[in-house]
Amino acid sequence: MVNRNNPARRIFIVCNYFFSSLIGLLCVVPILHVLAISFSSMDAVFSNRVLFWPVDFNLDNYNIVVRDSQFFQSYFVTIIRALLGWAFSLTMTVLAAYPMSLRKTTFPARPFFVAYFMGTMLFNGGMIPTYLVVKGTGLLDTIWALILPCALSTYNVILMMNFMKGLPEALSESAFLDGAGHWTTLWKIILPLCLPSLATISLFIVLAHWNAWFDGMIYIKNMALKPLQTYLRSIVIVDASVGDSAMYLEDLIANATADGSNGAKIFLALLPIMCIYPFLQKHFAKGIVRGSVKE
Amino acid sequence: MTTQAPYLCPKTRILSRRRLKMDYPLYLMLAMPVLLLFVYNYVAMGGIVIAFQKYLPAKGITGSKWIGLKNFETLFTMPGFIRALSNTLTLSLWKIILGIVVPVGFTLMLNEIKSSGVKRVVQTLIYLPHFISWVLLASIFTKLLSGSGIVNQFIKLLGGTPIMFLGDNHWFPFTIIATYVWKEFGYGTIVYLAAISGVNEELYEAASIDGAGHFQQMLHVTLPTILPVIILMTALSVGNILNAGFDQVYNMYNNVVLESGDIIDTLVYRTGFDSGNFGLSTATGLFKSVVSCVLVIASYRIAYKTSGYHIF
Repeated sequence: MVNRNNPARRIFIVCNYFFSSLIGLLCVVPILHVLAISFSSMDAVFSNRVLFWPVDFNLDNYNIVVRDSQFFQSYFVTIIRALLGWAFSLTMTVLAAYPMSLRKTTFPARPFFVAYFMGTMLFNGGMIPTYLVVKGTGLLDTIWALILPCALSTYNVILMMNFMKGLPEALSESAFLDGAGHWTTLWKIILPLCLPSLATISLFIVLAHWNAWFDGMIYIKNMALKPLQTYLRSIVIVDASVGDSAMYLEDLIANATADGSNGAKIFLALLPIMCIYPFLQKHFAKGIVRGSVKE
Repeated sequence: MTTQAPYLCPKTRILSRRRLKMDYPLYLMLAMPVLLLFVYNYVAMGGIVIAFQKYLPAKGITGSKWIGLKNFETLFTMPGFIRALSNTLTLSLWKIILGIVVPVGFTLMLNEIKSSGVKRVVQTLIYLPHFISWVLLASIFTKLLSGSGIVNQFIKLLGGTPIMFLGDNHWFPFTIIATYVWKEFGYGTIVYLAAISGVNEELYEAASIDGAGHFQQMLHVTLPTILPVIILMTALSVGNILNAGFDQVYNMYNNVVLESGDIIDTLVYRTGFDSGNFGLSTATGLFKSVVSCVLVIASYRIAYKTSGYHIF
């Protein structure tokens, strides 16, 4: 480089490092604040002494959460829906993607199905009609209401299909010539080669289930089946809207206690995402690029 | 003679016996996905007839009274609708613009970082918010931005007066847009970083030999290479003009900021589930679906014309 030692360039580099890192930190600081609150004493929260590191470190808030049986019930519901939903959605996505990945000469009906899948991306019935269909199929207040309506994301099908299209055609061709049918080819040839994109889509599915809250709110009335995010919404956000109107000391203390235990709940809800985050980061980056930028 | 080698006979009619015999496994595979979409997407699309009814849940679709376009008349004369429409447009346009400008700007900043360690750490930090649900983030932000929250403490420390970010119609749209950009800009950089990684190093060398400084290299080499991606992203975002982000707004708004924060989706929800007016709610949703459908088709066409982008 010509002007590496140019002072202006040096100042730019230093500033760039500084601001990039600052912006990076800004992205996690709000989360750190809540985690710090969850590990701090009620006293410290009450007097606003907690910034990004726990003050008077203790686990009192977690002791409060441990006694909240609804929290664990909801946690369990979310784990179940994520597992069931993952198995079901992944199967459906693969079954839809394989035929769509074939050439028109191999599968002449492909354009019809492309139009059929496209249709769902262009238009939707909206909130109430979808609710009525879920109700009509008898899914209200069952775990299936959280799994079936959102089972098939056309976006995931496209992602999977593009990956399959990218595999060398000679592989499936030779399988066909050896007398293998479509099922055998899919199971023995295509799927083993699709492991990276299966991983990406699995993460997409599990994450969507973990973060879903709206379906739990409108389709589920039974508290024993309320998923985690829906339950958290009902306690954390409804509480927060009245938080500022507190006038009496007791209310303020109650708020500080709630802040602490809510922080603990938020942390526990974030924990699984943090655990799979390294994988998420790796695969999402690949997935999104492959899905949006095509040759 | 094996009939299961589809490559051997490409030119038969779709519904010919020979063809069906070869293709039936494919139809079998597609059966479940197609059925799922049929029930939860296409039947639901049929449900939009409710928009033309005075729908009563007890009577169902067949028993409810048909009232023609009454629901739409109510909708278009309702002051809440115009308000929701203009709020939706304001929020989504800002989100679209900043959702492109900020990631592109930050990508250019990241591109100037030569230490791959620092770069990776920064990337790890900025992608994180994308994976967290708006429920959790909304509860975190209501805490941070409340009157006694950490942001207002900071403002007081600097001598300012506290701002009700989520309880003031003047500030609410700003808060929504800012928190949205905070959550999504990092994730948005992925596509641009991928495009930049494809830049031929020789271009930089050539530019440098011709006397181009770093800034000029960025302007004349880096930016033109990611321009197609910027155009594609802009084109695709056209379809989202009526999506102001239900997940975010519903979890962050309250009755005080309906004036500046009520969007079409939240209006649909409240009309349907809080007021129980299924017909009017569906009509509102149908208005949005129809306009969105046109916009999405337009955006795909633009994306195809400008970038050769095709979905399937």
